[in-house]
Amino acid sequence: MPISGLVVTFGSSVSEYVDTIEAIRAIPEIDLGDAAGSKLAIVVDSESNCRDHEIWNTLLHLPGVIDLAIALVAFDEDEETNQHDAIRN
Amino acid sequence: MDSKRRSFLKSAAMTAAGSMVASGTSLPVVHADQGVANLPDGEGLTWNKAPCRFCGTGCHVQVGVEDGRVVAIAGDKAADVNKGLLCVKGYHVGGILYGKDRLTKPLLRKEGKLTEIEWDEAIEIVATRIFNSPETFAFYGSGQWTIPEGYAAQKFMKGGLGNNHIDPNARLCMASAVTGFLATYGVDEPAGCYQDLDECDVLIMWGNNPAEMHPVLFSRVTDRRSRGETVRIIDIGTRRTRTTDAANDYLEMKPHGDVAISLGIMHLLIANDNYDKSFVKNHCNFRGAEAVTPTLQGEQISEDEFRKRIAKYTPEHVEELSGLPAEKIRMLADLFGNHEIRITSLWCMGMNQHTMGTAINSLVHGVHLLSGHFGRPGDAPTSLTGQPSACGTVREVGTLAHALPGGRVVANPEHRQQCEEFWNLRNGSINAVPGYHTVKMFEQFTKPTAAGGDITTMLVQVTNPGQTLPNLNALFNDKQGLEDKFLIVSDVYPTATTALADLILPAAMWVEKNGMFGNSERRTQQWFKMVDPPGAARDDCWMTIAIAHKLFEMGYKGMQDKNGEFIFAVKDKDGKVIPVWEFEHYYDTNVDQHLFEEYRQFTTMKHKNLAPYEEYVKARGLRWPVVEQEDGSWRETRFRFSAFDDPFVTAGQEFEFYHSSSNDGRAQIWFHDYQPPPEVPDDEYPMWLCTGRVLEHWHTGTMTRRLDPLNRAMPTAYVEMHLEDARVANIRQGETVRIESRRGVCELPVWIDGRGRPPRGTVFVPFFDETKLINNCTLDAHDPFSKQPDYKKCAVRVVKQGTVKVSS
Repeated sequence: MPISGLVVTFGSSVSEYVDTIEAIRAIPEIDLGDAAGSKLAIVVDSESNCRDHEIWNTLLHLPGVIDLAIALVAFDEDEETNQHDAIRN
Repeated sequence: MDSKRRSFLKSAAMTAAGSMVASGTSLPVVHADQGVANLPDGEGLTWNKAPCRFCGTGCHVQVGVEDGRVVAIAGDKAADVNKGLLCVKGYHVGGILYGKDRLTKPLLRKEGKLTEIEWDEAIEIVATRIFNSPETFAFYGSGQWTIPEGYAAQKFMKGGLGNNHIDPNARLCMASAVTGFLATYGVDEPAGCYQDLDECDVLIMWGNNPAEMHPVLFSRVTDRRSRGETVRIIDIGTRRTRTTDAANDYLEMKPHGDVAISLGIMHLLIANDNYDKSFVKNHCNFRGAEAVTPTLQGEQISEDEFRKRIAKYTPEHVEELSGLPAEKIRMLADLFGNHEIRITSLWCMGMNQHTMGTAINSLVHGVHLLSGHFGRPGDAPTSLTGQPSACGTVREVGTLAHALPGGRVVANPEHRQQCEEFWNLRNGSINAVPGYHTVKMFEQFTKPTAAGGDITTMLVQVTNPGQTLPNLNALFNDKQGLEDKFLIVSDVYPTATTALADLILPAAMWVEKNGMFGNSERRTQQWFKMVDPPGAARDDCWMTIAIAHKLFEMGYKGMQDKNGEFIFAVKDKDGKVIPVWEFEHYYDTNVDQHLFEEYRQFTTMKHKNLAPYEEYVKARGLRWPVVEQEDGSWRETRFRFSAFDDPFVTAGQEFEFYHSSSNDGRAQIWFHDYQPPPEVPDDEYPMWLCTGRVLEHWHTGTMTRRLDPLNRAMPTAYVEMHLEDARVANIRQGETVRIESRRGVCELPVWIDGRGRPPRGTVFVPFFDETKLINNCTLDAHDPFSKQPDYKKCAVRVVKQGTVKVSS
């Protein structure tokens, strides 16, 4: 159940991308944070790594988004990893 | 995760992201300890700094620990290298500790089956093998050894055993960079630093792909563009990559074409009379290889002789050799001939894993020296490393078969004597004959003893040669007739190497132990142990000291110094020996600090001065030489050999190469003739094979493949192939094919025009996947000076399951 602090970078000022901001707001796992210039802080709190990966890809393909940077990631007992068979043995 | 803690971590995540937004850029410039200050501690959650465990960039992370477990990772805003940013591997780094199959007990192979044993028995087994035949023991290490680990291994072998058969996996990744620096400047490692990336007008990548391999560094450049700055990015390569996507110019060359291109640039600089005559006259010599027995020293040649030799490398001739159009070679030469701009060259494995590795490294340095694009911020020839301490441990501590700490070599009697004095050893303790380099070491280990294979016991720490050696079938895989040989492997997870081990030692990793790394820009970094290793896993450095002490107990003279004391004796402030060879006492003191302070006395001899350990505790790394100031503070150096920053340049000089191999303060501009690759495609094996890495996995994937998000993103190795080559052979996207070379085979799914896009006649395979060992196919031919193998070019055929072969 990963939690990540991300910085979304737009091609120009965040205020020019109202539709994209609304699309991000509509993703239930995302909390919006501060915006300044072309950057927007968000937190993603998802139920699985798979969902986290989906959200990441969704964000990257939204109109106006040119970069996605990671500021912090928190993780815990990872059930998916624990279920993952050992590579060897 | 309970809701209170979850809420707290979300708050910390928002704080970290928000502070990066507030700073106004994605690479905010911050100072002091802001990185810690705005990451709130929660109930039981503490943060501490550490360099990332993965590549040679040397990003710092903040590690969040709760209840003895790493629970969060944040980019460290106080770190100059990454300024709060991390790549996809870096932000998952905490998870590498918690793979399901961590090794937690020593395992001894008995009648083919691995059986748990106790540490005492394991140490005794190793020590007895060494005691009985010290000269046939070899120690194979790593650029992931911490500095104290490497130093302990070095002292154990060369001081304690008088045995120089110690070499690191870094032989496979940056040995040619070392010989290139030595041949050019008389001393190893880059003169510049990452600031060059912030200030260059033109960035030339010579066969490397930093967008995937050093993404945080590459983002420093692309981030400048997003701020409106102009940086021209030129990608010289043999296939299109993610770096190409960001480049202004993609210059595709044939394998080995880089040698011809660099010669072509120098030819034009001279022909156009726009080289930097003042810089060359005042600071450079010309040099060529000796006719009979070439050495790294070479012989001085006149400028006229240099002009004569390079005259044939006209743009048209270089086009024939390299495949790069003549007008592009002229474009590069015009850039270097322009003194109003600043040019940084970057390279990594493309130039190093090369049978002309020393030559191409020297030639690119030569292009910068001849053109005067050197020694100002943004004007630099800079190699990158792939491992976190290839520089700090391998190159500086000198864990290579010919080297001693501090840039000394075993072949020099003065250097041996000096080292023996520092180590308080009897005269003559250190062997004068260099040991086996990596390829030779494994040849001797896998050759039957009766046939002259004179390495019988090998200890491998912190690396995975069963996956990374070239030509694995010859150098690793076959154990027939080798029943008397004994392979000991210390690692954190089962690997392709532990699969053939006779004894496996479970190791602690990263923040489960104290450590120090040295990154690609001469930055020495320190961290403290934060969590306990699982089960009976223990520090590699402890293992070395425990084996040494067992030998000491057995009466092995080499483990005693001149006074009869144990060579790794650590004493408390009252002079009482602390039994650090017993693991329960290993952390009674800071062994790292003791070893580092002993090592530090070596570092002044090549002007690679290091500060006291405590200075590194306070800093996010310091770039050597680090020199004490009159006020007692310690000052790092960003630009070596340049008077404006390097404290060792003689007053009144603008530049000084104070370790010049010609003893006159000058750097060497080398001439090397182009030579063809050792194996080229032919009718039988018509395709080039290039191997390398991917963004999601680090090297052999032993850590990153245990991380579900990364493994899901890149679950399997593949072969990249050009659409037309696939179409001709009737190969479809995703179909499994056999890659065959004269040395072995590997089966892989095909990725047509995928992330990397090779040209027709070339395939690319990453080496991270231990279920698909592409090094069964690669070539063990190596550079004559660096002994580094060429993983970037050999001849293969692609065989559709059945019988069809692909022709280029």
